[in-house]
Amino acid sequence: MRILNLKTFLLFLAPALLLYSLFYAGPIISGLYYGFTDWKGISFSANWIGLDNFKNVFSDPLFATALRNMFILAVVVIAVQHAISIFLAVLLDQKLRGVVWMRAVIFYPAILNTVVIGYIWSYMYSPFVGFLPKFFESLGLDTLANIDWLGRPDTAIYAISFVIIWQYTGYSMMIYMAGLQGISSDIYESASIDGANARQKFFKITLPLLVPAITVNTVLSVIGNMKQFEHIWVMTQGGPANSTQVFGTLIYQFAFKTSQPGYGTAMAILLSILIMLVTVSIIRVLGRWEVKQ
Amino acid sequence: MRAAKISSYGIVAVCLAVILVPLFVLATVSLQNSSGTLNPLALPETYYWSNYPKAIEVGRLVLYFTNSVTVLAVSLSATLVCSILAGYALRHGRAWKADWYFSYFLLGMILPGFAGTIQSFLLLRELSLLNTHLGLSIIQVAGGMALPIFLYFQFFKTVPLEIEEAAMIDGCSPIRIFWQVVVPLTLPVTSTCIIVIAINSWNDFFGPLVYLSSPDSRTLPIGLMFFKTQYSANWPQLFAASALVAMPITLLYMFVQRFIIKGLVGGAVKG
Repeated sequence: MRILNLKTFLLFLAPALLLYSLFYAGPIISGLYYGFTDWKGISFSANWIGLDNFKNVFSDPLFATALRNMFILAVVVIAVQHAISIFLAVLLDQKLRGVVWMRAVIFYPAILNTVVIGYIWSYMYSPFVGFLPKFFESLGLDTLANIDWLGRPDTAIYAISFVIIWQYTGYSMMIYMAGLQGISSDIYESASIDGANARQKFFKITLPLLVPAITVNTVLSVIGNMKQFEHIWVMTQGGPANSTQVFGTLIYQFAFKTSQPGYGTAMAILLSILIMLVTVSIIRVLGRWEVKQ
Repeated sequence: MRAAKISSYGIVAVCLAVILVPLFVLATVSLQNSSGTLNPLALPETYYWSNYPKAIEVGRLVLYFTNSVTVLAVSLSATLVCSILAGYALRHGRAWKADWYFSYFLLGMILPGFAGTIQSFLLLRELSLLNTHLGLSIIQVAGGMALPIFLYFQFFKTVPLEIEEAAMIDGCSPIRIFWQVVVPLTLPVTSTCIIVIAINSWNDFFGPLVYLSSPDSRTLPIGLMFFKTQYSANWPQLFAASALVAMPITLLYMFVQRFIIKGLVGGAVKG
């Protein structure tokens, strides 16, 4: 029996389909055309210039910087963040006093506004007046106290990475805790009877059975970090000396600061392709490691 | 066993300190004398509560708060209506290639929104919706409906067909079945969706940065960002403003944190 007929089906679908196509998918898909033009972004008209934008992108040193920073954000940050959050999830899955409260505190930064977080950390890092310089000074570590973490091209991206880890570790942790709750305690009990120690239980039982949660979690973080814009824009705007430029900041600048949106759109196309490739490979690779409980 | 527990407490204590110290610094610096030297390591000797009313006035926080609430209200209600209807259509639309539409909507969770920013910008300009809260809301609805559609679709699949079929045999129209039989069942999903949509809209940074350029139309995050460019060195006042911006969501979190965590994590895992 059919609940909807064609007319009601379309009626129900129409609002979402119209808004989504006009104001989200349509603009993005039209980028597939604008990426091949010398578009100035003043009106919808543009001249076809073939592959020129893409050729320029590949010889642009900023593209190399964006790739390098994307790698740092998508691989280094995620490795660190997820190692810590799996570890914390296992720790806080125990019956400790005040455990609900501790989880809530560790999760809290995830709901805070990026501008607020960016300000807090700009101040934490800021030379002379900030928290870190004063803190290191009080410990007598003068070399560390004199580093301008966000102001040096070789440290800025790592300083920002730390902030991202600080904000989202609690969020990953909660997803892993949901995964841990799905592992039956019978398995641990029979492992105990067989004489397994805590380390063996973690590596032979917990980690393999957590793979589905790891897949979801990495895909979420990888997509989020490859699209990164806000933290960098609030703290460094891509500087100093372009050392923290990522695709998000470059595309924004090409669109609104230097009037080269056609060029920026070509970058956005490359980024979208990269995101899809990476997402599919993560799901493929981790999917192979999944075990049936 | 005891040693293991003690070391667990130790490690968790370190993590809690790393999370809490910056928040503590936010609070203490916001209460210090804005013309004196700052000491982030200790509580201030005198508390300068006046930083707060000054921040509200200088930062025009009341206006920006109202703007944020307006955008949130429109975005939230429109996203809910669109996604619940679409989720239901996709559930019962096998005959009309619903799975194609479904994949099309899911693209919205993967593609970087900024790939279409200028096109949307020009479109809003053509429609005279640039610099309006309605315009920003429409962009938020279009860009944020993928996850709610997915969540509603997954939920509708778990509703037994017999319920709807029985209502149909009794002579209910599709619209009445939807409104009186199905919608009341969606409360758990709807609450998840409300949390995800509301937090995304409230914290949206890129949207208002691009589509709201006039000072009067700014939302809280963007208002706060311009606060710094105007008064760059005044950390106490800036931090008072930041604390105020963080306040509503923090208060909400204190009272219904389980609910918020469940909503955000559940929304992510199912998506």
